[in-house]
Amino acid sequence: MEPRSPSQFRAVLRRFVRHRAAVVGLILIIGLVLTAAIAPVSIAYDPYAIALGQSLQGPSLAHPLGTDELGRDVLIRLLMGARTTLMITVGAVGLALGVGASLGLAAGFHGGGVDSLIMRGVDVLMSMPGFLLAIGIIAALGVGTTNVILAVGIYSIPTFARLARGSTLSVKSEEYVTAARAVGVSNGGIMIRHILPNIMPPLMVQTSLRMATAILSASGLSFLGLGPQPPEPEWGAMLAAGRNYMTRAPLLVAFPGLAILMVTLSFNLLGDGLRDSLDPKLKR
Amino acid sequence: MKSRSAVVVLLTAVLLFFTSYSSVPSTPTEARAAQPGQPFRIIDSLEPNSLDPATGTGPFGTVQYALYDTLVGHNEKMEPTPGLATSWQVADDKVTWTFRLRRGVKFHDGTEFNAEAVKFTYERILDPATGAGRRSVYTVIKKVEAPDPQTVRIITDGPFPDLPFLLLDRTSFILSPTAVRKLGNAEFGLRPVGTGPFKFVEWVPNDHITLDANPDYWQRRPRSSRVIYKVVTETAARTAALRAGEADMVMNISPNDQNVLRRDSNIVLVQKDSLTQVQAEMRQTMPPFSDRRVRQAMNYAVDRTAIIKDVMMGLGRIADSPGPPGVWGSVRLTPYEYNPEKAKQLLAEAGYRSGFEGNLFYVSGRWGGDDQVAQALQAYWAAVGIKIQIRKADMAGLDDMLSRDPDTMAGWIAFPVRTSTYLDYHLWRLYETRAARMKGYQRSGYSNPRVDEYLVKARSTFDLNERKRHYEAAQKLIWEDAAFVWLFTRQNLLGVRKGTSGYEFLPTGMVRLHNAGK
Amino acid sequence: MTRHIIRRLLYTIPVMLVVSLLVFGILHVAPGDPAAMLGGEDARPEDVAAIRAKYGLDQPLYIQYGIWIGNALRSDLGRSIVTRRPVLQEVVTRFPYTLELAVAALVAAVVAGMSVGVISATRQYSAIDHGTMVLALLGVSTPVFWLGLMLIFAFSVELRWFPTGGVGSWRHLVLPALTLGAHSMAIIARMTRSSMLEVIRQDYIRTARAKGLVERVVVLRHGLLNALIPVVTVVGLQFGYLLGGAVITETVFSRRGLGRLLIDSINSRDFPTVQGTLMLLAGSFVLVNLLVDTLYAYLDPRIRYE
Repeated sequence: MEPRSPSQFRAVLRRFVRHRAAVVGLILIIGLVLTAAIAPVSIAYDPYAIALGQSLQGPSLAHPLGTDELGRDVLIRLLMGARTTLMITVGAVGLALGVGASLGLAAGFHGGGVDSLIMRGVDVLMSMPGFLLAIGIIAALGVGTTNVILAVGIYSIPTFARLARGSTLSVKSEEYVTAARAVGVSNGGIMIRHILPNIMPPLMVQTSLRMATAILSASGLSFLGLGPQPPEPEWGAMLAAGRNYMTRAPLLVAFPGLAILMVTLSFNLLGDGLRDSLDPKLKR
Repeated sequence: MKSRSAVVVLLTAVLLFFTSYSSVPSTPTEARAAQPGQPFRIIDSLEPNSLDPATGTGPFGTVQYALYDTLVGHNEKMEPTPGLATSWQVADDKVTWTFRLRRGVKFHDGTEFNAEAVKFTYERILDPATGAGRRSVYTVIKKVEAPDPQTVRIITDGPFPDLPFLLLDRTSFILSPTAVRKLGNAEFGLRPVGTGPFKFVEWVPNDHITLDANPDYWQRRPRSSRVIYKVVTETAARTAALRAGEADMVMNISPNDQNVLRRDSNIVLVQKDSLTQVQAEMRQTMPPFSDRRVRQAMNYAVDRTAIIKDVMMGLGRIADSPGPPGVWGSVRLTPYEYNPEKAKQLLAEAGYRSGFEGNLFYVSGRWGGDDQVAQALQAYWAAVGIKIQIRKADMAGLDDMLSRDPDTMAGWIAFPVRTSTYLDYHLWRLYETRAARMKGYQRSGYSNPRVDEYLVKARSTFDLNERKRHYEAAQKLIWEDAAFVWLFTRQNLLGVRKGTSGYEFLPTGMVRLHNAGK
Repeated sequence: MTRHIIRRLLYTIPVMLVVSLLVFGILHVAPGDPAAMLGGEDARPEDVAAIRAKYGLDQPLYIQYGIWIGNALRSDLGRSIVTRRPVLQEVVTRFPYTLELAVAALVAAVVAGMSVGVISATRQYSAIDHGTMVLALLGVSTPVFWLGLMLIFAFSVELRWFPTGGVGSWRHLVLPALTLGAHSMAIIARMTRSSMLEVIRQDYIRTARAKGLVERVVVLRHGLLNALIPVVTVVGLQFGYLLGGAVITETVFSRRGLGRLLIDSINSRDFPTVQGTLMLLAGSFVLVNLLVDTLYAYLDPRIRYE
C-alpha cells in the first residue's frame, strides 16, 4: 500500500457520491448539526417555561408537535435536545477516538512490553459488557451530562484501540515507513506523519458507526435517569418522562424516539457508505 | 462428522440448561375472584426492607398492620382508641402513665402477651444497637416498668400529653420477645411474630408475602382466611394488574391513571385525604433564605392551583396551614396566592432584583408526580429570577443533606414529603429551634423564639383548650414567617375490584385488612 | 483441542479477578456516605457510626476488598443495605427473570436473524434482499426503550394481546424478548448474509452443485454450517449486549430482573447489591463467552486440529 494520493481520494469521493444511502445519511447529519446550531436563535417559545394549563395538548398550529406534561412545546425541546445529543456523542466518541487511537497506535508501533501493557488494559475494559461498564462508571461518578460523556467514551476506547493497533501493524512494515526510518525521522514523526494518515480511513468508518452506538447508549442512560438532569431537554429523558402519559399522549413518546432513530440511522448509513467507498473490495 | 454431533449435544445441553432456569418463575395470572376462603390479593408499590417495626419503616405498613397490634389502637382518623391496652391514665405528676393490658392475648408463636413484652418492645426501640429509624422520637420515654403482667408503667422525660399518639405509631407495634431472642433482629424482620389478625406464613423475596388468618385473634376472626401481598413497583403495571383482575386491591394508584380506572366498571377507586404534606424546605440561617421576604416571594411565585389541577390531576388540597390538615389542633389559614409580580417586588426589596441561584434536593419516584412538581417549582421560580438546579438524590443523600450543619449549604432547598399523624410531632420536628438545629432532624435552621415558647407551653399542659390556643398562635407565626414553601396535601388513591369491602384506608396511605374481603 | 479449552478456562480466572476489581473499585470512587443511608431519615450520628463499624465501611479499601472477595468466594456477597437480606439471595431470585429474557431474545435473534440472512443471501439483490437489509439497518438504529414502548402501545394498550409488563407466563416474555432481540437479530442477519455469500462462492459449494444436489440441500447442509462460524462469534458478543440491554428492557416492561435491581440499587446507593448484580451479570458474560469459544473450537477445523 502506498500513501494515499489525490487521485485515490477522488476515486473514494466518486464511490461515496454514488452510494446514495450514505449521501442521504450525510445530508441528514449536516441537517442535524445546522438544527443544533440555529435552535437557540430560531425558537418561538422558551424551551424551559412551563404552562400548566396547556399541558399534554396534541399537535396544533401554535405547537406543531404538541406540548408535554408541563405544557412546554415539544418541537422546541426536540430541537434543543439535538444540541445535547450532539454534544454528548461528539464528546464521547471524540474522547474514545483520541485516547483509543493513540493507545492503539503506540501499542502497534512499539510492540513488545508497551503493546502487551496497553492491550491488557484494553482487555480489562472489555471484560465487562459495554453498557454495564458505562452504568458502573456512572454509579461511581454520579449522574449528569459530563459523566455520560465519560462513561460512553471510556467503554468505546477498546474498539478504537484494537482497530488502530491492527491497522498500524499492517502498515508499519511498509516501504515508506522503513524509508522514513532510514532517513532518520523520529518515532513520533513516523507515527504522526506516516502511519496516522494511513490508518485514518478505517478509523473514520468506525467513528461514524460508533457515533450511532454512542447515541443509543447515551439516550439509553438518560432514559434510565442517569443522564442530563431536568429541565435540560434530552431525547432519552423526554421519552422517559413521556412514558407516564403514554395512554393520554402517545406522541410524547413517539417523537423523541423517531429523532433518535433518524440520527442513529444517518450515522450507520454514513459509516456503511464510507466503508464501501474506502475499501471497494468489501462491496458486493 | 463426529465433532458435529458433539456440537449438537453441546448445544442441546446449553439449551436445556437455560430452559430449566427460565421455567423457574411461574405465577398464575388468570383472573380469579376472591371468594370467602380464597386468598385476598393485594399489590403494593415497595418491597419491604424488613417487617421489623423498628427498622422496617418504609411505606409498606399494610403488611405490618396485618401482623401486629399496638398498645394504643387508633381509628380511621388516627385518633387513640383502646388497643392491646384497655385503658390508661396519667398521674398528677404528669410524667407517670399507667396502662392496663388486655388479658388472654397470645402471640402467633403461642407465647403470652404481657407487660414484659411491652417493656421489651419499647426498650428495644430505645437500644441504639437495634437501629430503629425513629429512635430519637422515642427518647421522650425515660423508663418502662412492668409491675405485674397486666400493668405497664411509662415515665416520660417531662410532661408529654401526646404519649398515646406516640404509642399508636407503627414503630411501636408489640412483638414477641421469645421470637426476637430466638431469631435475632435481622432474621426476625424476615419471619415476624406479633399478635395481629394475620400470621406470617412465607416471604418469597421480590415475589410475595403470604399471611394466614390468626384463628385466636383477640378481636373478631379476620374475614379472609389468607392474604397474598405482592409488590409491583411500576405504577402502570399496578394499574394493569388491577384491571386484569390479578389483585383485589392495588395501593398507590398514580393520579395519571385515575380516568382510565374510573371508566372501568369492575373497579372502585377510593380517593382519600392524606396526612402527607408536600413542601419545599429552605435552609435559612444564611442568605438568601434567611430573609423572610425571599421566602415569601418564593411562596408567591408558585401557582399551587395549577400544580394541583394539571400535575396532580386534582389529587391534592392546597396548603393552608403549617400543620397537617384534619389533625387535632391544626388551624386553617389563607393560602399564599399566585402573584409573581409581588414575588419580584419582594425579591427586589430584599436586594435580589436579578435573582440568585440555588439547588432543589429530593428523592425521585417516591410518589406519583414528584418529578413534574419539582420541575414546575423550578420553572415558577425561574420566572421570578431564581435559578434552581434540580438534584435527584437517594435517601442517603437526602439524609446526608438534612443532617449537615444548618449553617452550611446556603441556597439549598430540600423537597421531602412529611407525614405526621399528630400536630405536636409535626410542629416540633419541623419548626422548633431545638429540633430544627438538631442533627438528624429537619435542620432547615428555622428559628422563632416565640414559636418555641408556644410549643413548649402547649406541651406542658394537659388542658386541651389551652394547648389548642398555643398551637394556633405558633402556626400563625410560622405561616407569616413563610418558613417553607408549602404546596399541597396529597390525596391518595386506592384501587379495589368491585365487591371488595371491609378494608380501612388510613390517611397515612396504608390499609388495615382485618375485615377486608370480597 | 482440550488444551485450548483448558487454557481458555484458566484465562477466565484473571478475567473474573479483573472484573471483581472493577466492580469493587468503581463503587469506591463514589462520593457519599453509605453508612448514613442505613440509619434512615431520623438517624443520629452515633447510630451511623455503629452501622459503619458493623459493615466494615471504616476500614482501608484493600482490607475491604480482601474481606469482600474472600466472602464472595464463599458465596457470601454481604447483605443488601435496603432489604437487609443476603445479596446472594436477592440476585439469585432475580437472575432467572433476566436469564429467561436474554435467552429468549438470543434465540429469537439467532433463529430469525439467520433465517433472514440465508434468505437474503440466496436471493441476492432481489426485492426481499433489499427489504430485509433495510429492516436490519432499522433494527441496529432503533433505541431499545423506544421499540419497547411502541410495542407496548400497539400490542398491550391498543390490541391488548400481551400484558404491559411484569413477569409470569410466556405471554409476559414475548414483547420484551422481541424488544431486546431486535438489535441482535439485525446484526446476525447482516452477518449471516455476508458470510453465506462468501461461502456460496467457494469451491466445495460449486462441487456440491455440480454433483447435482438440490439447491436447498446445498445451501443448508454445506453453506449454513460453514457460515455458522463467524455467526457464533457474534452470538457471544451479542450476549454481552443483551445483558446490558436487559437493564433497559426490564425498566420498560417492569420486569423484576437483575437489570432493574441494578438501577434501583444505584439509586438507593445499595453498595453490596450493586456489586453483586454487576458481578453476576459480568460473570455470566464471561461464562457465555467461554461456551462460545468452546463451540467455536469445535466448529473451526483450524483450531480443532491444532
